[in-house]
Amino acid sequence: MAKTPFDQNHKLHRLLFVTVIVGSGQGEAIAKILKDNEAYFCLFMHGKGTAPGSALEMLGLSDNRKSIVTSVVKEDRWPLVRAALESRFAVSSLAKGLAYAVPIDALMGVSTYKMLSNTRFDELKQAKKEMKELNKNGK
Amino acid sequence: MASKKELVICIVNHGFTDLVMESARKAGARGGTVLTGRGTGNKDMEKLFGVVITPEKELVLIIVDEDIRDAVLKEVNAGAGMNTNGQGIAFSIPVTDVVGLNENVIKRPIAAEENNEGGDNGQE
Repeated sequence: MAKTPFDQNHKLHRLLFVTVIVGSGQGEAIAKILKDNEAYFCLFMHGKGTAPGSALEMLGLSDNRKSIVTSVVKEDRWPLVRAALESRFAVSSLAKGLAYAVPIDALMGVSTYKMLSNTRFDELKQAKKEMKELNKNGK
Repeated sequence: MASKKELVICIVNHGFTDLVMESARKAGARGGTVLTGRGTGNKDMEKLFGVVITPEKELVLIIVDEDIRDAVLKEVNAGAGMNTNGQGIAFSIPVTDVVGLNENVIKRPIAAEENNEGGDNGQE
């Protein structure tokens, strides 16, 4: 029997590729915001900012090191992520940063979609719960 | 007219970028760019297994034609996907415009030569 395509019996969520650029050392806080909004993974990279600076930069005392955090979130989660990031950026001048999201066009496969949209983890949790209930009833 | 392009992004374990590029080339991709980073997995998953994992990851960026995008993703899945040691995930995002790809550099002088030849013929 032919297998039913995944999109015919599941509701598909559009995914966004999110990039956040913040000062060095702020990456963990950003990752927490993303994880709280069901991001499956975060990838940290290091970079250097080139924006024109102040007198400190002329003296070579400015810190232009940046943390770049990339992740994938569901589109319906983006307004929440955006609001959380805006409030995070407003904490202090050190926490300032910028973020952008690009819609994902294609994915490697159904399993990748399940991972990135946290479907697989939800399924695992559900299965675990069902197993517990079964064991309880069995006893 | 140049075809539409897509940026394929592949995140793999450190040291497995060759697998990604090898697979992508099979489907017609040319070159890629590798960035290194530190990945964090799902916290709940970490709790489930009781270990905190912060592995070193590599991000491969490949610009491909839109018509070979699916083939490239499929090959990368087969060669460096979750079922391999690379444990890669790949997806693509649209690219509005591209400058500096080899095909543009080659095509322009040829087109210019053809125009010159046409001009000469007209004078004769």
